[in-house]
Amino acid sequence: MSVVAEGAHAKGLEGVRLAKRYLESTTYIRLPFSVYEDSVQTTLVRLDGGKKIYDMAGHLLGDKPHPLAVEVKNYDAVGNQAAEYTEYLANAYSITAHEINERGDLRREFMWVTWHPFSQSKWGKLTSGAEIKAAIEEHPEALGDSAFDTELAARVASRLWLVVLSRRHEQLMLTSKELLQVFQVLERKGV
Amino acid sequence: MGPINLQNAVNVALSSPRTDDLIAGVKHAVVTELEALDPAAEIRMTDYFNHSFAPDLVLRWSDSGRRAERGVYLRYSMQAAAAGHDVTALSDLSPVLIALRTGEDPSAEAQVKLELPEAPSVLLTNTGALDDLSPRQTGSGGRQLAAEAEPLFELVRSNLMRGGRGLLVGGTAQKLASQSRPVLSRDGQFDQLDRFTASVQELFLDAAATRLNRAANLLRLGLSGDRTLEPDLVLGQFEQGVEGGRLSEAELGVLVPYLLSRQDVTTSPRYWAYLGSMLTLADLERMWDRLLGLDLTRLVEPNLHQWLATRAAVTHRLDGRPADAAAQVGWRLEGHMLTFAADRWTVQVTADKRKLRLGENARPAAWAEISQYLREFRLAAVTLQGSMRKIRVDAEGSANVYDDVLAITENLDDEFRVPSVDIDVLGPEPTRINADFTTMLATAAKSVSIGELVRVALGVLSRHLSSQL
Repeated sequence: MSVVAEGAHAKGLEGVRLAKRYLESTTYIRLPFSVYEDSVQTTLVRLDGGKKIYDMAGHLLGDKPHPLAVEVKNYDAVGNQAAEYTEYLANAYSITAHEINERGDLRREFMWVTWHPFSQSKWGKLTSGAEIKAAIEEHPEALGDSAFDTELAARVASRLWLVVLSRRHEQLMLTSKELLQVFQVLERKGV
Repeated sequence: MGPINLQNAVNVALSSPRTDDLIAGVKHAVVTELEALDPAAEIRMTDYFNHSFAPDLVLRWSDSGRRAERGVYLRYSMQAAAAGHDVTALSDLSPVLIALRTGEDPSAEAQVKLELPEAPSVLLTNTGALDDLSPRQTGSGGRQLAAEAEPLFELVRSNLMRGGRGLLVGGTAQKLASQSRPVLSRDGQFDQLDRFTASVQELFLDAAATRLNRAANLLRLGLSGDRTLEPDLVLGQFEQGVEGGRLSEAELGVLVPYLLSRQDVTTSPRYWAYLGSMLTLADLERMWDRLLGLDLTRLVEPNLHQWLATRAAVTHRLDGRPADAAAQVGWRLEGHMLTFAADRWTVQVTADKRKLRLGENARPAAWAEISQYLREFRLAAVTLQGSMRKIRVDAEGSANVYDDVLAITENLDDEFRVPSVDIDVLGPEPTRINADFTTMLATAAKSVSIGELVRVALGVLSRHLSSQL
């Protein structure tokens, strides 16, 4: 691995670690699997048979746990996020459609975690059905042989999360000791 | 079938494509190993796996009557634990972190070593190290054999999850395993114990280190033999230190059978009295199954006036026993109870009087036959049953009614029989022992030394039995 790639790897790993800690500290999310440890568990399949490896996989807890796939962008600048996000939307739609075909609707949710905003001119619409439609138009291969379903796009849009973290977020988190007490009181049902 | 290996079991589980199977398989494998290491602990699986803050497993145990627990956090690898800065992040919780995949990772180990000084109560280990320390590696011989042959190793295992700390992987785990095992030569044994003590300080929390060092010192003193043992010096220092107190159930179950089964352990009563000060008769009764067949005389005799009991029963020794039983004079554990075999009598003693209940089966004793033996006791109450009258003689306070009873029986023309007598035991904790000739039970009103109960059982009750033979 080159020095640059090694640096990128370490930065990516650090981002996944920070995102996992923050998200799990909310008590609503469990992310037992990361691409750095078990990529099989973080890999999902699209309509066209293509595979997409997410940074983390787990569940969003509530009355009934929903599977959750998380993409983490530990960026200090906008970078290539606009294009990557478009691909992420196309994948979210395609993976959901594939799962519905194969196993029924698992109500999988998709989360994009970044440290730097992007596409700010349309920031408020980034999790809309219209953006998913636009993403599919840009990545038609994600549809495989299927036709685009506007109603499904709206459903997928309702399951999208766009989270911007700060380097100082950890300072706002409860300590591990406090969190353990919270976990012992709460009874979030999950897998 | 060869030894079961945690690493293999975990690797198989981790290769499961189904998430539920993976998590259940890993947890089951780890729980099985932890149960083997510490059978007395209770292990609860949580709903979490590889979570940043919530443990995968919770280990619970009782420590001198107090409930204690420790969270066990599973991580995929040492690198994952290092990348997650888990040692620092979880240091407040004093957890055990177990890396599931065992592989040399010097940079990850270097990273966690930087964090560990600030997290002195965290144990970070991996499945390979647990395999090195596993009782399941001892093969088909079973835990009992391992405990009898390797008492310190057995205690290291049972203390590991409760009180281990630091980085325990690879060579460190193998070194600890090696230092916990006995060596054949006498001098080598003492060097080994020195090395063991040093490792224990490094790899165990204070309470666990104290317990393990106490066990090592008990072995060292026991094995040093009478010639080199300087009880006043060595034990004197020992007793003043912080290592006194009661032995845990695990320590009792391992150390006491081991020391009793070795003929080269010192016979010094001072040594055995010291060991006895760390346990009770009730403790011995609880571990009866590990003491079956062992001669406990070395341990019991120096503690006759230290250990407390509530009831003793006397029977004629050869009743229903094999002829060669006469050769086995001394203290043993039989039928869950401490039992003294004398020339003609067997005396059972217990800390829990409910364990010794005999139906009425003997006639009351004849005063004329037992009175001479009662002279040396302090009689508090006697019931005399004559053919024409029944007389109850009670002492006022702690007076001795022996002479009164003697006068009554000498002045009344009757043949008196005595169902039971009450005997006062004076001293800092005065009590009263009822010696019942109809049941052959000596029962203390409140706990009294085994020595006093045996004295009454043999000095009073057996006299009546003897007259019946």
